[in-house]
Amino acid sequence: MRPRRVPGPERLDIRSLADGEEVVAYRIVRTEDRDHSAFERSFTSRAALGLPPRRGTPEERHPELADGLSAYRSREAAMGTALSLIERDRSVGEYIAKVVLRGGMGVRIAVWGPPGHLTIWGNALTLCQATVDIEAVSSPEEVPEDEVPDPRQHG
Amino acid sequence: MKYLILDSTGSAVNEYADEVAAHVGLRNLVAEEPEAADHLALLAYGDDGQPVGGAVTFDDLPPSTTRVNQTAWVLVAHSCAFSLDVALDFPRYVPTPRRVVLDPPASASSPLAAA
Repeated sequence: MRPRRVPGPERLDIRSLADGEEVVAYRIVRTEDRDHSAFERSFTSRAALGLPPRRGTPEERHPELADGLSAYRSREAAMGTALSLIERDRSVGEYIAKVVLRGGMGVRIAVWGPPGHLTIWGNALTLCQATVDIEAVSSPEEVPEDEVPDPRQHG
Repeated sequence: MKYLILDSTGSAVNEYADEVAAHVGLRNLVAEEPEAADHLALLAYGDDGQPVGGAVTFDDLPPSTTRVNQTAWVLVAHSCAFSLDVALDFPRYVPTPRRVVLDPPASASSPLAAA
């Protein structure tokens, strides 16, 4: 019988960040409260949560994927992903955390999947501390009230 | 276009290069782990890395069929029971099986012969 073909990357190029290298990544998180346990949990991998690798997925070929976290290189991709999941009742978080990864943090990354998607391996606490900004998910049409131009200023 | 299945932790479970493969992948994941139907979602991403369209869940998947070629043995899973089906003279379309087994081992006997 032919071996079962598992979709996904044949090779996963996992690398550590070089000294002085900086990578900005956007991760969907469940809360904006850094002191809430859900915040750290948002940076906890499937494996750390005690979930086994899924059969028929790249996790079979690359078990280390279960130790990593998905993130996006662009804020818009993370925002669009979070919004799409919320709309289909599959929310994984209502906030986007901007994480600045630097060499020397003990963090590794692998770029795979759609353009701009990456998997991050690192200590959850380290990733929490590397978060420099947290933003609520909003649809592109939504404009915060304080950014709505005052018509009186134009007329 | 690239397709990504995400789980409830927000991490990617698998990637696919086309929609049909992504649908099959989602079906297979749920076949392996039925409760995953409530946690997985499929998203399409454009060449710019932005999500295109909405997320697709297992319940959203269209009914699928599989073309069965001549002489192909197909093991079709119906709930917990299995039935063995064979196409003889013409292609047929059957519900997509969990696994299509082509070229069965020589030791496998034909149910027609047994009949």
